[in-house]
Amino acid sequence: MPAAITRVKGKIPIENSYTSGLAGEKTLKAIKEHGEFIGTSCPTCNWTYFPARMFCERCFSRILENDKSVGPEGTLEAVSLVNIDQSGKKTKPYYVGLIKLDKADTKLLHHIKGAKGLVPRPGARVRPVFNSPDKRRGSITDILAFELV
Amino acid sequence: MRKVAIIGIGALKARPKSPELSYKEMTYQAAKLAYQDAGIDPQELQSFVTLAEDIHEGTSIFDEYTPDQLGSAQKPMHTITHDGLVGLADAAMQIASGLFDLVVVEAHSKASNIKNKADIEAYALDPNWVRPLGIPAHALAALEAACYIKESGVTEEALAEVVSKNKGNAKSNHLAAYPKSVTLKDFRGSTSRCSPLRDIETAHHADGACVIVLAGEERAKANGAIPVWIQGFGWATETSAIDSKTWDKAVYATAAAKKAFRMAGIADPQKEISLLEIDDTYAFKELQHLEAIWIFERQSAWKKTLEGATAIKGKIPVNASGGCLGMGEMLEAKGLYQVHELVTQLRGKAGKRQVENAKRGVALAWRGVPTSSGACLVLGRQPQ
Repeated sequence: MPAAITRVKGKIPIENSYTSGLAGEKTLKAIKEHGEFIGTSCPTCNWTYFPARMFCERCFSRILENDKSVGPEGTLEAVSLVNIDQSGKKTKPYYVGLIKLDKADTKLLHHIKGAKGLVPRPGARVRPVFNSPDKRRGSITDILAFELV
Repeated sequence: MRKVAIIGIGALKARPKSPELSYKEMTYQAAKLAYQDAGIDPQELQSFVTLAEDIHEGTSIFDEYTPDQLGSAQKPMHTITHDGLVGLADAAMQIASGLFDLVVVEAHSKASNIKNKADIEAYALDPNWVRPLGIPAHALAALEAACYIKESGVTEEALAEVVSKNKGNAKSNHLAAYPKSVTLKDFRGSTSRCSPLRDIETAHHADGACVIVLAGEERAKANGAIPVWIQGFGWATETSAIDSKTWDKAVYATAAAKKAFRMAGIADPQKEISLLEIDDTYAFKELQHLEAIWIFERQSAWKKTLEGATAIKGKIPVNASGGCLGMGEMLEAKGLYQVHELVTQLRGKAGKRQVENAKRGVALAWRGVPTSSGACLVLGRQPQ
């Protein structure tokens, strides 16, 4: 019996650039050039965003000029041990976590480096590990991971 | 505001794969069932709403591909990229405003045609701050689970019970794709792609199509069939940013349900709702959502579940259909399958899984990771 003809395959590449914006650029520049975390703060809501934002999502005020230095250390709020890559393929296990940077009210998602014999757990203190200055390119991946303090 | 009722429902059996039918043919078949159920001639229909997402369909400007399979060529029609419940609210407003009398809502899932689901999910992650990290979207669900577990104290036994209940309920639902008996041992033995989420507590995608017909009061009463009334609806997004969203509570569900319950005149959700169809894409989500919409107090949904309160014969049955865990994860059609179940229950036609004395049902849909978006709908045997 001839094989059933049930489908036609299709594939199309999708590529984009994503503008960092004035606020995003502020944060990325500080990471790239100084290895520092600069967010912005809303005085009305008493709320500090990291990465920086142009406006407060709570009260809609412009906050772009209210720079606030946060971190660099923080506290782990949640951890997951991940066994797959972004495409869902099985990979060597790695930790990811939600980090509340000191002086920030938001949470940052990033890779967590487990130390020998130490499993990252909620409540643990962490600090950033930056790529060497010559290799930084103005991206969230200029932070390689957060490690246990 | 004019009263609005659901007068017809049609759904295809959810299946892991549907290689012989195109999405248009699936939608056509579901539409035929719905129009037959409503006892109407498709020529009478006045307006149409489809819920679809271009990247799930594999076609951009997908709204161009929606009319013919519903019989809506040359008629008012539009597409929304959201869950089916938002489309239902849209259709209800078109009738309530007096613009139309008969409106159709459609959503489908052809998830088996998506060859790289994980990449598509990753494409939803923030391209500046999250996607470059190479972390899968599933890990965000796992982190949310971790936050909820910490907040609520939910035990492994309770999560296993949600899975066992929903997949068990699916055994008496002919539309469900994943009916199964699940034990605590099965749960404990399940693998985990991203801890603490086990694969067994994650809903699997399924293919299907669901069509709902809505009518204004006079048209609904003249129709002969038993109308199921739309009493209230609401929808909400907390924020698009994962850095500022609430990780342990479903704030979007609270906001959406608040609007829907107010519209329906529900003062005490624990006493005034007969049954619920609640998003359970992950087992913990069912518990988190039940607490978010005041069915149970904070930190108590898991205890009530272990006591059997949410079983079909319990005090407040949840996901009698099998939910996403038993039915299958139906992309934009999740909410419409919930509505299909509630209408079946409120008509008293749910057979073995019939909830006794079902008078008012609530559906709650979540848009999935990485969103904090949801929608809520209240249906009843009476207009209010």
